[in-house]
Amino acid sequence: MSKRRVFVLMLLVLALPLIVFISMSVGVLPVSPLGLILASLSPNHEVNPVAWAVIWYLRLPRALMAVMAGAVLAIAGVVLQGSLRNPLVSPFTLGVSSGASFGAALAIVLGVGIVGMGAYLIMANAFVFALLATFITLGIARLRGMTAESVILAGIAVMYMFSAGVTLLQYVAREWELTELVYWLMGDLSKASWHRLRYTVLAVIVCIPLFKFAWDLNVLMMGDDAAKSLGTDPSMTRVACACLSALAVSIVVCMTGPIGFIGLMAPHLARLVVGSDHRFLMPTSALIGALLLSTADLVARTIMMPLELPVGVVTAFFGVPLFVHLLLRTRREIWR
Amino acid sequence: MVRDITVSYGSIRALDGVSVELESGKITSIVGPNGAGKTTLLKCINGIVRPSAGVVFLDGMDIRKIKQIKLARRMGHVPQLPPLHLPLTVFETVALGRRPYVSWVLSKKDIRTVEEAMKAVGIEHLSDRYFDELSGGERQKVLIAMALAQEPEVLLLDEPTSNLDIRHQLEILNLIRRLAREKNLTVVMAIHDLNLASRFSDIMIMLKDGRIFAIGSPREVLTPENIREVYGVEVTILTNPHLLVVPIGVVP
Repeated sequence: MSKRRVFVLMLLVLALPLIVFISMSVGVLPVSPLGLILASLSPNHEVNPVAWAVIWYLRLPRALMAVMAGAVLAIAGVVLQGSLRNPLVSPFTLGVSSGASFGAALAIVLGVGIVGMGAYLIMANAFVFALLATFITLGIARLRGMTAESVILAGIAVMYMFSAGVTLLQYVAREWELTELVYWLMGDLSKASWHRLRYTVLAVIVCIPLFKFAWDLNVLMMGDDAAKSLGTDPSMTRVACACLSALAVSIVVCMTGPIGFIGLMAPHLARLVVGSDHRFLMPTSALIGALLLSTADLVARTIMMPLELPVGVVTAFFGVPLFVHLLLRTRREIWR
Repeated sequence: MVRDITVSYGSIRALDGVSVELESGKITSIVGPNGAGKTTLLKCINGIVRPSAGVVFLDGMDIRKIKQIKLARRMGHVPQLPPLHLPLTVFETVALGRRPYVSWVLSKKDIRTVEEAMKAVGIEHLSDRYFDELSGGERQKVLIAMALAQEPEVLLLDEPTSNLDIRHQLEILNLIRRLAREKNLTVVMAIHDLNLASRFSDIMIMLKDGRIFAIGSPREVLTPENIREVYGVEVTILTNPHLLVVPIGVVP
C-alpha cells in the first residue's frame, strides 16, 4: 500500500511539468517543443520574439496559475470534506464562491467596492466578500456548537443569500455590465499574469499549514467523540481548516472567478488511488487538482480554437458525469 | 477518582453527584437501564463531556488540568457505536491510536506498538483488510486494538458486547479481562447484559436516573430487590455455579 502510494505520487509529480510543457506548446500560435526550449533559454528576443512573448507573458503564467489554483481548490476540498465528514462538500460549501460573486457583481454593476479601481476593485471586492461569507457561515455554525452539520447547513443558507444578491444585481445591471458579470461568473484563467501569479503563490503558502492537520482529519473519521478521546479538538480543527482553506480559495477565486468541481472531484479521485489517510490524500489531491485544472484549461483554450471557452464550463462538463457517478454509487464506495 | 460528578443536558440531569474510586487491574462495570447515565459517566471520565460540577481525578490530578493530547496517552476509549463507514484498512485504523504520539510519520516504535496491539486482540491477519468489510466482532476488536495502541492506563469501553453473538461476547470479555490483568489496566465498561457483567466484573456500579443506586461485587449488587427497584423487572437470581439473572416479568 505504502509503496503504491509513493509510486502514484511520483507519477503525478512527473505528469505536472509535462502538462505545463504541453500547455505552453499548444494554442493559436503553435510552438514546437524545441523552439519552446530555445525560446525560454534565450531571453534576448532573437529566436522568435512573438513566440517568446506568447509563451513568457501568456502561456507560462497561465499554465502555472492553472497548476496552483487547481492545487489550492483541491486541498481546500479535501480538508473540508474531511473536517466536515461529508463527501459532497466542496471549497464553495462555506459560501466562498457566492460571496466572491456577489462582491464582484457589486463592483461590476454598481461600481462600489472597498479599495482600488477597475479590475482591482472587482478582485478586492470578490476577496473581501468571499471571506465575509465564510465568517457569516462559521458565525452561524458556532451557535450550534460548530458541528459538521451546522457548518454545512449554514454554508448553504449563506450561499443562497449571496446568490440572491447576485441575481438582484444581474436584474438591475445594464447590458454591458451584465455581459462582464456573466463572464466573471463563469470562471476562467485568461487573466493570468506574472503579477497575479504572486497572489496565487500566496494562496499556496496559506495551504501549507493545513498539512499539519492530516492526523486530526484522520481521527475525525471516527466521529467527534472518538477524535476528542484521541486528543484532537474537532471544532478547533474545523475552524482552522475552514478559515485557512477559505482564505486560500478566496485569493484564487477573486482572480479566476468560481471554477467549480475541481475541489469536489480531485479529493474523490485521490481517494480512489491512495486511500483515505490524509497524509497521502492531501498531496495527492493537490497534484490531481493541479492536473485536472491544467487539462481543463488546455481543453478550454484549444477545443474551439481560436475561440476560448471559460474553463469553469469545461470543468463542469468534466464534473457532472463524475458527480452523477458518485450519486449513483453507495456511500461506502464513495469514501473508499 | 471520580468525585461528585453532575452533568446536565438542558434541564435533564444525566448524572447527579456520582462519586467512584476505580482500581487498576480490575474491571469495573456500569449497569443500569437505558438513559441511566452510563455513557455520560464514561465520557466524563474521558474528558469528552465536561461535567457542570465535580471533578475527575487521574492519579490525584484533575483531568481538566491535563491537556487532551496528554490524556489521550493515558486513557483509551472504545465507543459504543463504531462509525458506519470508515474507509481505512485495519492497520490504518489501529494506527489512529498513535495519534496522541505522532506528528507526521509513524516511527518504527509506533508501527511495532500498532502491530502488538493487533496481536493482543488477535487481528494481525486482518491488517490489510478494510474496516468496512469486517464483521461486528472483528470491528469491535479493531476498536479495542486502537485503544490499546494508545498505551493507556485506563481503558473505557461503552457496550463492548452489544450486537455480538455469544461466542464473540465471551471472546471480547475474556480478552478485556486478560488485558486488565496482564497490563494492569483500569477497565471501566458500560454493559447491558447483567449475566455477562456479573461473570466478568470485579466491581459493579448500578446507576438509576444519574445516581449510583448500588455499588459493590456483582453478588452484592445484583439482588432481586435492586433489580426490581432500578429496572422495574421481577427476577429470580440463581447462584450455582454462576450467578444468573432470570427475568420473570415486568413490575406493573
